Amino acid sequence: MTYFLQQLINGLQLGFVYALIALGYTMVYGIVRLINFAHGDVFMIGAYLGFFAIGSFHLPFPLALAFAMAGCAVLGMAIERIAYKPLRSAPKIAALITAMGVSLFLEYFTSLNFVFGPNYLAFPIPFKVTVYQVGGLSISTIQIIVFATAIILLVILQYIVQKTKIGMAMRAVSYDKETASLMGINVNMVISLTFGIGSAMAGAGGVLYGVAYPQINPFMGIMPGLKSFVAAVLGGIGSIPGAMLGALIMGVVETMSSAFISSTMRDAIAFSILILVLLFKPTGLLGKKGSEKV
Amino acid sequence: MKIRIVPIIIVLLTYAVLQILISTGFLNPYWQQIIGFAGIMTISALGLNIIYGYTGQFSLGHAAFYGIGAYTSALITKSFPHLGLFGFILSFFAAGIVVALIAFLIGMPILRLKSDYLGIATLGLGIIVKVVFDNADAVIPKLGGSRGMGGIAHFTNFPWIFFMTVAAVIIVRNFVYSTVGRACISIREDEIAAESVGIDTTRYKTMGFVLGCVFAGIAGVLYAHLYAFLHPSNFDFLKSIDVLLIVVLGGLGSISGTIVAAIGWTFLLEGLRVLLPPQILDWRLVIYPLLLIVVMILRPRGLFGGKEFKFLKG
Amino acid sequence: MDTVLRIERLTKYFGGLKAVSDFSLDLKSGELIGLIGPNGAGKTTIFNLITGIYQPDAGDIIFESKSICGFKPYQITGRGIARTFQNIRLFNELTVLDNVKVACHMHASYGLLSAIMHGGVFRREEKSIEEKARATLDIFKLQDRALETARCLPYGEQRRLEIVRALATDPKLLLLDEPAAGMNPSEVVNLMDLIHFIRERFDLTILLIEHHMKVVMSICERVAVMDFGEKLTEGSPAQVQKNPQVIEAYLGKD
Repeated sequence: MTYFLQQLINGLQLGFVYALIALGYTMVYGIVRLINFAHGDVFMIGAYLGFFAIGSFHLPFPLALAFAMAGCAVLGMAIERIAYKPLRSAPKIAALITAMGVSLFLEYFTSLNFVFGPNYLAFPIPFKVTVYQVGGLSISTIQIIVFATAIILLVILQYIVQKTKIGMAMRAVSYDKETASLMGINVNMVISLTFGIGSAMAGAGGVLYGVAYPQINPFMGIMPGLKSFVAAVLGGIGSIPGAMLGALIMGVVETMSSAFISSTMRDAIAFSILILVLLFKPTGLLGKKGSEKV
Repeated sequence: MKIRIVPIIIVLLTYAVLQILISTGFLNPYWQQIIGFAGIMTISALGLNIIYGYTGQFSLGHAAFYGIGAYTSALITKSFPHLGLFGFILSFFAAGIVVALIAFLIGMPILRLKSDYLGIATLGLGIIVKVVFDNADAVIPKLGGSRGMGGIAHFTNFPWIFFMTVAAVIIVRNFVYSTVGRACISIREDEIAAESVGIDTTRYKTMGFVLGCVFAGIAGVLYAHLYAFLHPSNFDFLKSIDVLLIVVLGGLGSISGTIVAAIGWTFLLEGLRVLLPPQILDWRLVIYPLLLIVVMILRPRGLFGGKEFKFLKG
Repeated sequence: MDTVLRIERLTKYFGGLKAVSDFSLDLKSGELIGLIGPNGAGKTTIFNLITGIYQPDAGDIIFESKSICGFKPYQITGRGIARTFQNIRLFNELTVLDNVKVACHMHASYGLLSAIMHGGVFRREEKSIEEKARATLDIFKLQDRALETARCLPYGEQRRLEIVRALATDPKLLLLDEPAAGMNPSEVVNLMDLIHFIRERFDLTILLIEHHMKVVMSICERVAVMDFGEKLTEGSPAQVQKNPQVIEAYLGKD
């Protein structure tokens, strides 16, 4: 039983990291109907920014986190401006392929020797780590920090989206871009901001991932990015609560499969669950039923 | 079949020229392999074009069927080495049947999903299949699993590549300019309207999907017997993305575009390897995505968006 | 005259919303019936129920003495019911000719193998499809546009093509969903001529949803009025026009 709970905690830890990434996917999809394949690589850049902030600039954790988030926000907005905006009126697949191009570019460029290099680097932990024993379970400072940071950021995001004017603007644009612009909303700015916020979240995810699984390399974003994306779809792409739910489920399923069945099969199990969910709920767990008017 | 003389002559001439270059050693084995790979990618990409470009089904799991074809055929030729070339031919049929069966069984439930969700499901499928490849040796040791499967006979040579690629082009072209092709295109354009004029959309979606996957499987057979070594990492979702890139780059629903893009892509990657000085060789993989981004922004509908060489039209 | 279509107490819910409630209507062979009502009354839902896009929650639809509930849309088209859509649904990237050829699929086709081999069967069937499609375009004076891409046609011609495509399936019942929507007065006149022409040339029953009162009143023999999913009344155009319930539905109570 304790083993099960322990794995549950580990799974939730992973799930929260996935949630931070998944939110960026779902927010961007909600607003421009684009699967931003480069998002996982923004996550990777966030990890590296955290690496430099802590390792080279010796910043304390909150500042390093802020640094990574800010850097990723800028990166995300730049990518949108340069690569996606020109294709807003083009067929959707063109933007998708461009996103794949951006992803490959980020991966291979950062793996060049004069940038980050292709090898694994050890992520420095910026605080003292203690492992607490609570009723037979081991909980480390790292896990507490991951949970706390993720929850705080998620709450802030929910607040922004639901309770602020800019959040309302974001929701309006995601429902109907044209009408929103007719209502006086600066659609370009809202889209930029969405990318910025989503990327900042991914950046935070990158730092937390670095802290929790302290090996980083330029290709580290591929699988977490993919899984977070799947999680967002699982929860219903375009739905923020859906992304959170999907990500937590994804993290827990992956960890549990690894612990109880087989770690080599964990990906297969996670994706099998995804396919099954989609066959019964084609728009995801919390997704809106996209009904086509006939 | 209407016999068009000029294209046939061009095809035969091209074959003759290339074959001479190869036989005289002018094109060394390295370039022979690249030419082989270009043909293989063309066949695979034509398959994805059928599924996505013509029938409108967004499949991100193409490499899985490529792999299933490769492993199935390799298993046959390795298990029956005494059959020689006949075994190789047999393996085509075996691979085709296995791929068709799996594509059919998976297609039936999955093709009900709408575009982006279908993409995810097929992506997931690709990952599951790769995990199966990784662990396949637990069931059939010959398949090698994550250690890889080696010692496959080198049956694929230039004539095989060339004529199978030509056959693939002819088959796709005939498919497109027929009532079956039109039915599939109508599904891509508007599934509801297609049903309303009497098209059994489930049947044709499945048909397009199975046919396209069989193309991938056949390409896999050629691949297995060209490289002589198979590893599951050759069939992961990144490879599915490569094929998708080619099809979109060439122009969805354009056979000419797919051919040009597949061959161009193969030679671009290899050409960069040759052109760039060794110190900046790694930049090869940085330049390629940049070029991709530039092309997509400049020509969002692909190089041949909606257009076709005259001799392919029907 | 026998009954071609009998809609019997049809009911359809979407979640908690009753889109169609206890709707009944008989169509006799050769009639041109209008279905009118305010927006959201459930008219298109009736079409979608008839053509199998939705399944009813209660009631039955009987076409030529056989129930067609539970069949898939393409099967219902196969039985002889064709339709057009409120928002034009053409195969935009296909040519005008190909749009019609797709509709000929039901009556002349061949399998994948014949398609790939491009052999005798293929040539024979393709020839008959080509002839039928071209003949159909000729009848409706669209032959000059045969090789144009459908999305390049002017709006009025697109609507016409959609109707022509539906007719290429050789239907016995034709459902037209707001064919005059978005048309200017001269296009509306052309449309009415087209419908007259279709009635004379083909042996068809037509059910027409329309908001254009001029069209409904001048060409329909009978009119059924819907509101909030229910049938308010049914009768000749003159009767319906004077019905106080109908007036209230459209204009509201004083």
